[in-house]
Amino acid sequence: MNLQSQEASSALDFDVPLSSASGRLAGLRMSVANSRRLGTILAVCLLCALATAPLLTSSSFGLARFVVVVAYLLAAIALNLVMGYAGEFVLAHPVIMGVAAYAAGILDTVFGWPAAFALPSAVLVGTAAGLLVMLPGLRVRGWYYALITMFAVLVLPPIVVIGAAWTGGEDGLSGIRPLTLFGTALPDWALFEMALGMLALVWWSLDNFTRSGWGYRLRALRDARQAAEATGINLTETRLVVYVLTAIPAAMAGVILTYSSRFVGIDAFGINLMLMLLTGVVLGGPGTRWGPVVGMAPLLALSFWVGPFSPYNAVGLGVGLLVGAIVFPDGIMAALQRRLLRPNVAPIESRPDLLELSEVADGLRAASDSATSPHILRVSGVSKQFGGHHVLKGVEFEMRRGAVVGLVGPNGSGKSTLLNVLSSFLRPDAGFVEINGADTRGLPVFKLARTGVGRTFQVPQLVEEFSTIENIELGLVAAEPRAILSALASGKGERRRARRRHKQALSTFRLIGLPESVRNLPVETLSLGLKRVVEVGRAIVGNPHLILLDEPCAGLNDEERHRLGKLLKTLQGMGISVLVVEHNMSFLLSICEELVLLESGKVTCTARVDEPMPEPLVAYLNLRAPNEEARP
Amino acid sequence: MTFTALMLGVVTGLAFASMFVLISTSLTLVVAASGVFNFAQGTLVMAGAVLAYLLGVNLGWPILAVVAALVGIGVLGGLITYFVAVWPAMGRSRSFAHTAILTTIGLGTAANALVALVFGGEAWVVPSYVTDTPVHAGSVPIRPIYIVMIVAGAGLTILVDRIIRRTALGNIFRATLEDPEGALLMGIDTRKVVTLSFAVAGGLSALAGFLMAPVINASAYSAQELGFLGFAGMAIGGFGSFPGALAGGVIVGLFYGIVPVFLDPHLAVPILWAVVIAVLMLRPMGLLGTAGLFGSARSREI
Repeated sequence: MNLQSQEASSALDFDVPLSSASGRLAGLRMSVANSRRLGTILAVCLLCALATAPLLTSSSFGLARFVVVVAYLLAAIALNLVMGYAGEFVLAHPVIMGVAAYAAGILDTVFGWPAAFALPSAVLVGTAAGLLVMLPGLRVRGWYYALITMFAVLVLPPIVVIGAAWTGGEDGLSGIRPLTLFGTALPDWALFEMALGMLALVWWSLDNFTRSGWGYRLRALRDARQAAEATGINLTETRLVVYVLTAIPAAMAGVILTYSSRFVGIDAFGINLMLMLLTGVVLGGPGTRWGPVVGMAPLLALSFWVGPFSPYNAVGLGVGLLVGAIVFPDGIMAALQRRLLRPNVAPIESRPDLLELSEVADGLRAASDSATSPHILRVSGVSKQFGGHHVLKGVEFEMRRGAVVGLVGPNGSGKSTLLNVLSSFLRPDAGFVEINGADTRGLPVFKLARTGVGRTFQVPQLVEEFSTIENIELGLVAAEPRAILSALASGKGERRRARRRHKQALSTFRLIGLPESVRNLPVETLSLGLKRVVEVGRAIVGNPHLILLDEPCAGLNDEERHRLGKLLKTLQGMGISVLVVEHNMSFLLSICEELVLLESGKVTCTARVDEPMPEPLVAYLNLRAPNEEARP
Repeated sequence: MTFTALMLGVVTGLAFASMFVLISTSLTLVVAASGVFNFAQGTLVMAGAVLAYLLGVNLGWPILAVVAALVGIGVLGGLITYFVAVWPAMGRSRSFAHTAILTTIGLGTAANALVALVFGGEAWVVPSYVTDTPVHAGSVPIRPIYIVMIVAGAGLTILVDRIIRRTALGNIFRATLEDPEGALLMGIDTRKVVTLSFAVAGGLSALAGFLMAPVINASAYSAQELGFLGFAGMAIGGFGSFPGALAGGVIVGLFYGIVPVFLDPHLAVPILWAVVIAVLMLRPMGLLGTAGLFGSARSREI
């Protein structure tokens, strides 16, 4: 999964000088690219094999069961997008399918619409219903969200009964005319091939989507929500896009079922269908291309064997979900990929290849100088309290443009809270923050980020399955145009953006001085110290004016710390202002011009490091001195 | 007439409410101790109702024996849930709560289907445990079984609340959930606490099923709806809060009792679902819930 999404960037690999370690990796990447190609070939074979189904069975009942297979696969692939890639626990796909199925049936039987209008309208209605059910996800999180979406499945049957005049109530809706397009009734086999075509289209385009810039957004939404916002990604927009994209294939599946069986019954869209889709996705491997197909295969086979309404189905599904979730916590595909693709890499300790920083620094555009205010940052009277606890009590300080400033203070003095206020994660109770001369009050995190403010987190927030370089690329997608269609079709624009993204991330990768050998490794194999450096890379790749670093030295060794210091100086040379929260004084003294001391929610002292230290700072440093480790 | 109808709805609602409070409380108990929302809880409620029929009506056991047996089976069911679906999932994946949702859904579904397979899927009618001659309160006729439900439900809820308040259990839950390792270091056997919560919740759920059996025509397929109603009470009332479970359960019960009086009875579940969403949209932690569980300051996303 992590390695899949690199195909788009592979064209660029060859202008990278290969060290022996990355030579080995290039070999590995080849095999990954091969496995992707193999996957595509297998997918085409599978679809072709399925396409021969009308030859195997002549009865329209037999063929209808194959249509069911196709429809369920469609829905599972849709579920995989929202649950597997975006991490949103939506369990309402039977509702979407059911509403679309009923809409198709009602438009046909009650209103007598021709299929050419009824079909797309029904998909639209189903999508709208899905959006309505999923909308609480903008606010409600975790398993509360799982529950309200899942229980939406219980809400549909009583509504169908109430609307019996149109829906046929408990008896179901029958008398639907055969699908007629352009005046000719489609034979069963044509309907099946059409459904299969839809499946192929959806599978292909959603796979493209997950490998596009949107794929970065989705995984960031799943794994690193705050970091996503801090790089400028609008999570609400991302969620809405995913909701629509997952609803459309599910609605298509519902419509297909209606025209295939020419009957709509509520039993088909119950909790058991949800369970089958959920089990299929979880078992196969959420967030992988093949996961939903691999996971659904045994379940569909079981349903063929015991019959779709047999209680043995539910037993099998339940046990499958239970055992699958425990034995393959990340799904069969992830287990397979671990076996086949990933080499056994021990966590890599950093041995940065010493590149000359200045050589690559010009790869980044210097931050714009068309500034109006001499201060990049002005904090004025900022207060914040949680319950009765006053964390910040009127913080005041200013930061000159292009400066590197250290924010110090004892634990619990409010440094992290202040950083969260500065990056808009928290709204101050009083006072305001001016960045680049503009008041940031009321600005959501992602909008502030887009004005050129980057940050890192105390606990690094990264997409663990992504490689180092992909995590750095994450800092760039927010600035890209939405271009959803291009992402779905893997169009020219998307491929161009992917190349540009990769190129820019590559120069940042070299700038931050990570060893070449970790470039394409999933960050989950990196040490904590290296993860922090990756976060710095993600924060600076988009050329911010100001970056806020939260304890970047924690977990770094002397060598790494030294390099980080040099990097920050380089960034300063490029016109980026740096505010760094850190406990390591010798690090701060070596890179900062100015120190700001925060004590119990107030700035008690600001001092330039090249001048004699004022009393409070000396007192603080003396207090800290015994705790500090020995340093050269 | 309308007033009588409304009061009838209120009484019916309160009777159901006392049962939903019981189910919400058992869900809350498990969430409080382990952070797991147990999807299989509805199955245990259903099991209580089904056993009330099988043992009490089919086999003709005396009522106390039936209660003892089904509470025992409920406890056993709770323990099975813990040892089959929850304990093995610990430490297996990045998100334990996430995996536990899946495993308990799986277990619940398999169990429901097994009950349907073994005992059939039809709805069982359990005769009332007390006389069916209505008691009159003014103009309002009240079924005595409703009074039994209200008294038993309220009594059990108060008992659980007392035990948690009186003993250190509330603090132990909080410590176990917030910082399992810290709790271990403090000498709390966290595993025992979690196991116990599953067992007690199982017993309570089965009992709720038993008490409800005469008024709901339970079948193997009613587990999901019962689970939903318990969840609705918990969600409306508040995340991990016992007073919340009480308030939420009462609200759900009243809706459940009163909606059919004035509207199409089929609207009860859709309306409740809309209410749950409305409450969660306005207050994502429910009416009485706080950011963290059990009034703790630290919010954690589950």
